[in-house]
Amino acid sequence: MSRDTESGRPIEPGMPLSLGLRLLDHQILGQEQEMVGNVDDVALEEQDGRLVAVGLLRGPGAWAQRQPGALGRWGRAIWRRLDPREDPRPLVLPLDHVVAIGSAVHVDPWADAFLAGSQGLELWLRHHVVGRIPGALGGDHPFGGELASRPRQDADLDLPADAHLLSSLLGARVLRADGSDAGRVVEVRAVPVTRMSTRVGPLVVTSLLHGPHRLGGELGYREDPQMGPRLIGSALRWWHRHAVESSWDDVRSVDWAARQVRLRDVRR
Amino acid sequence: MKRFFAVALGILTAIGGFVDIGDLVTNAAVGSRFGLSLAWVVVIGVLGICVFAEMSGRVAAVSGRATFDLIRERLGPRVGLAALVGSMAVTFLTLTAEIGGVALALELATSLNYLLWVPVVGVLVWVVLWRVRFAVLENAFGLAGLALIVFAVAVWKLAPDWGPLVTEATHPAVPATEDATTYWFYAVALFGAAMTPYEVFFFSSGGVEEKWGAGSLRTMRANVFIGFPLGGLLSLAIAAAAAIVLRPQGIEVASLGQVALPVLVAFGKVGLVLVLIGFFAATFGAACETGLSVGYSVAQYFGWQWGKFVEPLRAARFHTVVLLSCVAGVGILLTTVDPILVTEYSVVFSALALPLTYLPILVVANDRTYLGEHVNGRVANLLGTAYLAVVVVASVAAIPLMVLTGAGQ
Amino acid sequence: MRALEGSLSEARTAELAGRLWVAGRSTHSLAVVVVRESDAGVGADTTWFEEQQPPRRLDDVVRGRTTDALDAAASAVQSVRIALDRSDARATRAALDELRSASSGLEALAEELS
Repeated sequence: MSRDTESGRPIEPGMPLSLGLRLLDHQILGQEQEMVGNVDDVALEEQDGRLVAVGLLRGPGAWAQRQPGALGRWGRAIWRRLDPREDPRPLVLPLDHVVAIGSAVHVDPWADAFLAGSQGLELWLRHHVVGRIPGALGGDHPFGGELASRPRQDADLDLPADAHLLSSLLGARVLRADGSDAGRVVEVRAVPVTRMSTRVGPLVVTSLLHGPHRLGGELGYREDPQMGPRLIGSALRWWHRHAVESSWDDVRSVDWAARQVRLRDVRR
Repeated sequence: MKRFFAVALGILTAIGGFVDIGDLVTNAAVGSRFGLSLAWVVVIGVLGICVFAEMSGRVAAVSGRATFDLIRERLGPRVGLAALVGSMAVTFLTLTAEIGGVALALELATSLNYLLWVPVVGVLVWVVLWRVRFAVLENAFGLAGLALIVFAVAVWKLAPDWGPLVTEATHPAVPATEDATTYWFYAVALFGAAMTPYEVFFFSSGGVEEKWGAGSLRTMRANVFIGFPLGGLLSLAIAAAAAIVLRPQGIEVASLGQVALPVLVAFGKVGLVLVLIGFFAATFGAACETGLSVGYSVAQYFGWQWGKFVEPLRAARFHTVVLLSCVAGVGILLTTVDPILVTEYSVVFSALALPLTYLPILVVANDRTYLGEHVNGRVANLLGTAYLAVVVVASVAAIPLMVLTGAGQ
Repeated sequence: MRALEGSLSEARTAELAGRLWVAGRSTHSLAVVVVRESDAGVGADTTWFEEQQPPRRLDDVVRGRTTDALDAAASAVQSVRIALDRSDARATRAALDELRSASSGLEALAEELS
């Protein structure tokens, strides 16, 4: 496989995966360690009462959406202006193409080629700037030089208008059945829908971690109680001591627009 | 035998590559005003950079992830962006200072005005980054930087009496001629010069460039734990030389020429040649490193392909950023701003930017998913946490001290 | 006070560089660059000082003496620079002696005032 899945402990199929910590904002790598982007967001779909993570978003459209305020708006505006299509949607890569999740997210050759071909800024710079400088090598590498910019005919790879994003779920307010405040979503945990050895596939959300404080939740201390250094670990665990993990079954509904999660009445 | 040479090369390169324009100017200035009463800061700073370089090097070797990758991953895209902007600004400022330093060194050698050299240096730096292989770049400038050992030899030759020097170093106190606020300002500046953030970006990205694996850990540790401290000794030698020769005369270092004077006193023209070679190698090497580091930070944050280990046409965004940085650096210097002033600001702002850079490294170095059995041991964690505290203190104190002392007047 | 210390530093730097060249321990270029910078430095310090307003009338005397000392140092450094630019060793030596006495004057005044 790759260096990092050898020495580290890659995510075992069946183990619940913390999406915010292990998937979001990670480097995306191809088969030969080519860097083809960062996981700028994760697309979620409601299927039969379950919430399933179906794809990774990558690109300036998705990234700009995660920046607050003016920066986010300008980013989106610039991206929409520069994208040649009429109504650009952020690119979604289905999780079927993800081969392994370690310290980086590894994708299969098809995704590799596709992502490499849809790097607008990179291709433009290769043609107009770097390619014009004498001594620019690498044009004959499969992913170097001019790549046929894949026309995004396949609408499946665009984010559907009604899709939900992980970034809206993280930080959403959680309300109990009686309306009381149960904090904000700190982390979302999911498992693969089907166990496959060669790819990860869609992930179904199993639980939400929520608590009064959002900060530091994604540093990883909750997941591994042994993780050092001791001082920082204990400080963060203390900070999050009121955080609660609620199973997805306990969730009655999610109001995506208002970013609110309502829990069921748990008492029987 | 071949192994031995490889390790030795790494160590020598680390020694010679340790010093940059910030170290040269700050250590000499401190030596000329405070003698060796701030030597303890250099010791603390060098140990700190060893701890964090080893951690980031280990993460890069075992998981293949370089530092800025981790910053976004752990801190999120918004805080990560703030960290990116901050450290890019500091690294870019340092790049500008280094290009200025090369130009000053060339001015000292040829007496041609440094402004004429600035564009030449900018172009040269970019050409080297465009064409020269990473390993060659590292080794050439690292080894040439060993010429700065002449400072250590000069100290040995000139020191009439070791007693007072040693006493001053081991019993730190604010000298009578200076006040406490200035003393602590220079402590922060010296700390920032020793623990420059770009060093960690460069070291870990360089590890990925050179395709380190778990088997490279021992060599990497040798480079860090032997090479860096010896490089730190060079910094102290520069300070000591200034303390011995310049301080009694009331000369306060504010230019690169003054930094060189003690060596001329000791060795005349032979020393001069070595010093100038050393200046050139140290600053040019650091210019290359900072130029690459600006590119590394941006590319790693966004997930773009980066590195000299791929051909330029596979990493166009990375190379464009590097090119733009060189151009912008030259542009700033051509406004005739004093390169020494830029250097002074760059070390202070380095101190400012440290916490956000070091926290993610410390956290990831403990993550078993990444490092498996190579996670931090108790010593590394103890030192890492202690240094995180020190770094936060220095960062918080940096701006107030700068304002209070008018940047050290 | 600041002006005195600054100028003293520049003057001594120029003197050191000049003597190194005269003794054959420095290249001409380095000496020239260093002395040029010192010249500019002393000039800047002198100008800066002249622009400062004295807080009390009594300081006029002190101000006068300081200006004299600064001017002496400035002209001495300039002589060194000119002689050095011409690569005239004899003239440089003479200018250096003049510079030494000017520096001593600066130092004495600085000590007196502190």
